[in-house]
Amino acid sequence: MMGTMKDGRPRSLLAIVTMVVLALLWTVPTIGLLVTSFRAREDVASSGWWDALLNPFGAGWTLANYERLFESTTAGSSLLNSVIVAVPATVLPIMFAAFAAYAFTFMRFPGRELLFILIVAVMVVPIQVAFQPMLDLLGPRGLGINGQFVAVWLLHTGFGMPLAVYTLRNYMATLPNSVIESAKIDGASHFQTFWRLAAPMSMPAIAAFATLQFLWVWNDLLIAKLFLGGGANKTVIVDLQQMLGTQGQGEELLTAGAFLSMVIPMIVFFSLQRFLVRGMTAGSVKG
Amino acid sequence: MDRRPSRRTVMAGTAAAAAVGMTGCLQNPDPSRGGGGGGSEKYTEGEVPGPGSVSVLGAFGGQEEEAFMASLAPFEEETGISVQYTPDQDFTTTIQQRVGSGDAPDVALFPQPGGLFDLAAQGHITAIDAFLDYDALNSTLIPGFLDSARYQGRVYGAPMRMACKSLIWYPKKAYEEGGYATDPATMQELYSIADEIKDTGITPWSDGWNADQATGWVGTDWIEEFMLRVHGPDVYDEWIHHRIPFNSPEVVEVFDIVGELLKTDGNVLGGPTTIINTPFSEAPLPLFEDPPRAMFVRQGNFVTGFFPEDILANMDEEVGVFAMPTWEGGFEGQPILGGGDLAALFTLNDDSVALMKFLTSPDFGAEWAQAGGWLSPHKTFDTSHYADETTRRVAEIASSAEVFRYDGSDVMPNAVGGGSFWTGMVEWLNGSKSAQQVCDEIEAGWPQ
Repeated sequence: MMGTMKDGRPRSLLAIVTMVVLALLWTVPTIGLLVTSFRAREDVASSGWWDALLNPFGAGWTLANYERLFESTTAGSSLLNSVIVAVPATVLPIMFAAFAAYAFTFMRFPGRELLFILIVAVMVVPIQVAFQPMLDLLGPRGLGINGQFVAVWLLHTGFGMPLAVYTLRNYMATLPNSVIESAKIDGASHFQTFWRLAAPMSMPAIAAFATLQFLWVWNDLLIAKLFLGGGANKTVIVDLQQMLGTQGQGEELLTAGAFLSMVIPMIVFFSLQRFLVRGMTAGSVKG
Repeated sequence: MDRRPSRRTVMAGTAAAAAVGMTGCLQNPDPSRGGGGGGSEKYTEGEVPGPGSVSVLGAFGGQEEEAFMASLAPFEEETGISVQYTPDQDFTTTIQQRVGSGDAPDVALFPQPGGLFDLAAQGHITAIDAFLDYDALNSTLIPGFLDSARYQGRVYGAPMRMACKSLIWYPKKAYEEGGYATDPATMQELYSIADEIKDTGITPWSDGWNADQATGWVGTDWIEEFMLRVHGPDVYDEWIHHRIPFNSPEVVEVFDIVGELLKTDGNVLGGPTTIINTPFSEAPLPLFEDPPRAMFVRQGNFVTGFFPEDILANMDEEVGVFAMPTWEGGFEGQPILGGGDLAALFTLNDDSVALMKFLTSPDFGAEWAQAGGWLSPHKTFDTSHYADETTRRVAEIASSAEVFRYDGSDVMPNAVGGGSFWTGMVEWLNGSKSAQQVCDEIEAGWPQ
């Protein structure tokens, strides 16, 4: 297993061992959750999940938690709601932020620096202080769209934009200026330059931000609860929180529900992962 | 003839006058004369036509939500009104926030009266006498229930579910095999039974206080139970409404009495450390092991939901329950400590009033009673709806109580009842602070 890596450097045994140990440590809580989700309520109360792993044949595994999750709760429809919330809430801020980032990087207009500083400044405004005014604006006293998907799309777009503009602008600033200049010389409009050059070349940054934004929107409880509510449009995270009884009855469903809610973010993460590592700019200035 | 009234009649007269006086101050002010808070006029049906649906916000989800909706099905069918129920684990915050942004539900089911009073003071809630028959309601409810929702003389919430806390559970088979008495008249008798159990090598009590961020609430129940028993309901009321300081000698004395029970070696399974680390829901589990590792658990009726499945399947054969007895030398009557969900009305219209009438009637809840984990706050509720004998027994204990008192920590301001009282109990039990220290600190932190 020793030997050398693709680029010729020798492999380090120490690094391999450390990485494996770290990875295991990092996933211990998740493994515990997974094991617990397959155990009955009394077993969970009477012994730790590691006991089940040490004695896998006498542990009394059960699928009952997952069965009940699908049969007696609304987890299925709220999972769909989460997708309906998360996809536009990821695409919209990135689309607008990419336009803005292009403008900030490659276009000259008065007040450019000031506007950019303003956007960076907005990043430090904590989201919590904006809730009450936003509730007034979107609620029955204002637009009256509270509880509809469009309310959370707007919110996530608004609060995701500053960081998106900032990261994308910084990434675009590192793109070779000569490429953009040669496009200008060839007579490309800003629209063409953006779609043909800036956007594809910024794919690593866009993908990185999309992953983060998607995970944040997916796992969000506060905004979903305040602006979408617990009614028919509730997201899977809000739904999980509603599954408990007065004294926490039904806790065993939470572990199964938590795993179910992880599946889609995992798919998103692994499908976008290749963009995160691929460098798009390599060799683009040649010829 | 001697016209001087006898001592006896004077006494009777004073008592009658006192009773009249009491009724006077407890009596609900005539709504037509108007009072504080919103909606002082008596509501007549047809004033505001309903939109055909009622939104309800409550604190319970999961199976309780299902059972609640099942109990509402006959209402929805009969009236054609649809009920949109939203559960929220963080009810107390959510209701404030939703009311604050003008998005209040039509009806809210408060798990504690504290938040209800806040919103009633701001005029968001309509007092129940405006649309319910107060006297009829009061006559079927367990006495004292409505007083828990009284704010400045008017009642703002009507109970739709009761929790009965003064219960002691035991594993029926093992307990009867041991031949222990099942009807101790006083706590002292119970203690001597516990000593008998101890002599056979079994720890008598099991207890668990852990409830994550709410750890300690079980401890507050212990103190409240003993306050009621040792000093009686009058001192109890003065204590929870802060008319006597939290660190008054009566309270410290009760801490010491509870400490004697919980902190004595060999009384409670595992001692104080285990009590603090065991989730309250897991405290009954040692009772149902074979052989049992403990014999008694003091906990509310809701704890049955956490019993093992095979025990739940034959509740009546496996589980025994009796009311926590009185304290010898303390208050004589049988007191019961409890709680309940209070339904409060935010939007006054025909539909929401119809729902409130249904929720607070003695007929509500047959389906929920069948599903289990629910007790009607009405004395007149048909107990044949309960799923098992054990629940019927609990309902009987609750409705035959001489004194019913609402869980004190739910009535105290949230900073105490949901904060310093909880943490204080933990610090006291693990021995890092004395009873006096804990009581002094809670008193010092009481909101002005």
